[in-house]
Amino acid sequence: MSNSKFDCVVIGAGLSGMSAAITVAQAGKKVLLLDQHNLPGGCASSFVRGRFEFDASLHEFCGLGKPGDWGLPGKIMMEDHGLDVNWLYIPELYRCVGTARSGRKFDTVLPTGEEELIEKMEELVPGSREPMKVFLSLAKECVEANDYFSANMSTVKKDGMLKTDSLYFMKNFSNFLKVAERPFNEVMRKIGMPEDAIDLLDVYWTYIGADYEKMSFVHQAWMVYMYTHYQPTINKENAHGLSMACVEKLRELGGELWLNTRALKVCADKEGNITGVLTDVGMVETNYVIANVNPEIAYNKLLDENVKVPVREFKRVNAEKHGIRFFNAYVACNKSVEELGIKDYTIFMPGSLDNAQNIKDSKSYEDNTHSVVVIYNVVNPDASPKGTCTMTFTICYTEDVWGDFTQREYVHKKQELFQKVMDNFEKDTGIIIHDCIEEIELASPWTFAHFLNTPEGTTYGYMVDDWDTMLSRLMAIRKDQPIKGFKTCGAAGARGDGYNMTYTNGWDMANIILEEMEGK
Amino acid sequence: MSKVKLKNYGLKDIMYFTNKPKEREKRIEAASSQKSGAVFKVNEKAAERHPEQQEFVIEKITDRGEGVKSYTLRKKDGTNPAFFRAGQYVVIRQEIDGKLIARPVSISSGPVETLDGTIEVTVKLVPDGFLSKYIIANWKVGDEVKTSGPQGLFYYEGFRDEKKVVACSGGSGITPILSMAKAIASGDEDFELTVLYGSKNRNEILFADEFAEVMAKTDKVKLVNVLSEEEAEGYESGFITADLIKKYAGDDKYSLFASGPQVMYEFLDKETDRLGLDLKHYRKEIFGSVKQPWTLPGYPAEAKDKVFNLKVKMCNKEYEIPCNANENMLVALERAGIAGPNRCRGGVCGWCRSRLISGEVFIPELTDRRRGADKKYGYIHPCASFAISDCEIEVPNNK
Repeated sequence: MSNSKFDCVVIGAGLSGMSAAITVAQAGKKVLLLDQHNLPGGCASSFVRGRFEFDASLHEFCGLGKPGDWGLPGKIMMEDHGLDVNWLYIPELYRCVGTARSGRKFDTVLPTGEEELIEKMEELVPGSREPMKVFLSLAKECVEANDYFSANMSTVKKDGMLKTDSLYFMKNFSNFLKVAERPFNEVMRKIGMPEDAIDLLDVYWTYIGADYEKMSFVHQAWMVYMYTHYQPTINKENAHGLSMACVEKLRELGGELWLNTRALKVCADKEGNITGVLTDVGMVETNYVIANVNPEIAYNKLLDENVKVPVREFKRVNAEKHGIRFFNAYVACNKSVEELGIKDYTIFMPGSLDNAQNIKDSKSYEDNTHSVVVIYNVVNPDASPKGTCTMTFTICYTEDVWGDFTQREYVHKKQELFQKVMDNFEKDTGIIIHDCIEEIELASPWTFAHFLNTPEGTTYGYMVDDWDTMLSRLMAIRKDQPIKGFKTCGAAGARGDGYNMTYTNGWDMANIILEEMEGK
Repeated sequence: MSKVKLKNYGLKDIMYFTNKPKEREKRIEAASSQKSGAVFKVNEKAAERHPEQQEFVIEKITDRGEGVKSYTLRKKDGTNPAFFRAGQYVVIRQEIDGKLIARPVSISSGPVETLDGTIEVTVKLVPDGFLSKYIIANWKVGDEVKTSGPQGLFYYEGFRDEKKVVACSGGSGITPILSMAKAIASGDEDFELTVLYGSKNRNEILFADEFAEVMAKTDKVKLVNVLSEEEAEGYESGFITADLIKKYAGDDKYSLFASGPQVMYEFLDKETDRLGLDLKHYRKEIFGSVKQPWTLPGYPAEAKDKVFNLKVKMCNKEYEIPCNANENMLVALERAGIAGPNRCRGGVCGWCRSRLISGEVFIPELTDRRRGADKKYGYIHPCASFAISDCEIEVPNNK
């Protein structure tokens, strides 16, 4: 019979919570991980329909790397945590079909590998070779600066912000200091990138959802470099397999996972010291809690009244803007990718390559049919039974456009939208799928709100806005978490969205909790 | 990549960099310090659509004859029941002798009726059925009953299914099909539905009036009664065979929906082979657990009739309970009063997903719908697993 007292309780077994739990358990602490669902993973999950298993969310993991050359997320996951995961590498960045602002139509495949990408861009948009070299060099510096920064986050200044070694940065990352926080498109123009080339690289917009005329260079540069250098990756056993690898590791380290167990309150004594977590199994004693929960939900609902939440924290969560949310269509066809003539893993079909237009459309139900599709079998022949394939279409919204639909019209709205998306896909690619769909599931922000309980069904935490940049958040990573013994992690955390970022953020917050445990 | 020298950027840009966090602080400082009780529309809609539990009061009981009764349920708090896809079910959660028993029950009303505040569920008395016996004998008007939200995947999906659907149904398996017919009549679904409804004789036919009412409203629904033990004019006789299906399907492409007892599926599977239907075009509603596992290939004969010891870890509690090899493991948990979340009872929905720590179980292939990684890491769905040795499992909390 296990005692209900733990060194640390992690609330929420999303990827970030699991990363936090493993990190704390690896330090020899007794850890309990709770999740309100009957299976772990949060977004990192899968579901079964008929003879198919659908990955709920993993399109392509960014920045994993390979043994001897790990990206930061890969290093934490594979080297530090030693997860047993069978990764598959995707040889292309993406195929994209769309019209640039210049009016030029593109249907092209961008390769991975710095040299390959530079040559391809030059071939597509003459004059981009030199700027591409500069861009990738700057992007690499951003990654290195970010890694250095991530490894040196323990000293805090009087104002609560991280203390950085500015001389070291000036000496080693001077370009980073100059461009990291400048708007992405502005930097691209200043280094002489042709406008068509900017449009082609901005296609990753769907994965971020921000305005590239305002969003910091570092954000997109980091992603493009990580995908280009390390290749996008997926787990052979999909996102659920990744979550199960995390759970196995946690158990190996003596940690426990309680499923279908809701954390009702994080409790504290009169002085505000964390004393435990009230769950629907009863009280679990602990002095340290990491919540893989959106901070506004944590502050407004999870913490009991004894916990002193600084006014600045309520202001912070009120200042934040909810990030992007998705419509997903999970489709299984009873034909193989060969039969369907599918060659590309990721196809972006934004219609227009104009970032401003895409943002405008992302606030509307009618105008937003810009989708990206990933077709798992192109990289993972075992993703579905022989002679079949599975794919996921995704549409990104920057605002709530689903909240006003009635219960009665809801299903029709999902179907009407996917009909448009599928028509566009068939028109753009010539790949015909409408007559061979064996299983299909349509998920909207309602679905994500149901499974994740996030505000407005958002999956990407808070918008990485022009003022709320990743670096500013990182500088304030300790200031934003002022409650001793209680931290939040996840997509709404310092690093923003994506499996790589949330996994890394779980590790960040676990390290801070470990310091607090040691009385630092 | 060799390092580049940037001409267009200078000290001012570094200032810009260092000022960013300060700008963020200013934005935060300017925001409201109110504790937020914000409720989001999307979250509200999602909660209405996918409630964890619905508390109802029985408003009306309709005796359908043949041991079948329908119960009209209205929400206790006056809100509308969750809107559903015609063909879905709810799980009845009934406490019997201090133990929570859960069973899936079909919704026989149309989805649009939820907007008037009700759903209707239909229960057939099954001779050895635990819950159905209790419900038929005990439920009366005014009683409070609890169900899950709408569940299940047996519904029409236009991207997958042909515009023409032939539904093969037997006995009380007609209920989800009736709901689909009602949804067509109300305009919530749009497809042509031909129902081949198998009964022994005319007396056994359920919902004849309801179907007549639907067909008076729409010509998209057709009903063909197929009698196995009686010949009568205006009725087909015999079983629902490939030839009969073909006769009513005509030359168009069609999807076959099947909803009925296990024996009907066994018969139909052979007939659909003859029709050359692929999986896309043949959909079966399977809920309820596999009975008599020892009749299935791969079952170790020596396990039959044994009672094994089942160790159960649930969060911070541990139990040791008997587990009858002839019943699925969820039944053992239910008998011990410790069953956690469950819905479909047929291996599909995964709600009862548990970790097999030690011991051996028999999992019928027919109802093995586990995730790939769950198979790899030794997770089982107790509702579709049978102990064939002493076992130890870790189950989700039963709240």
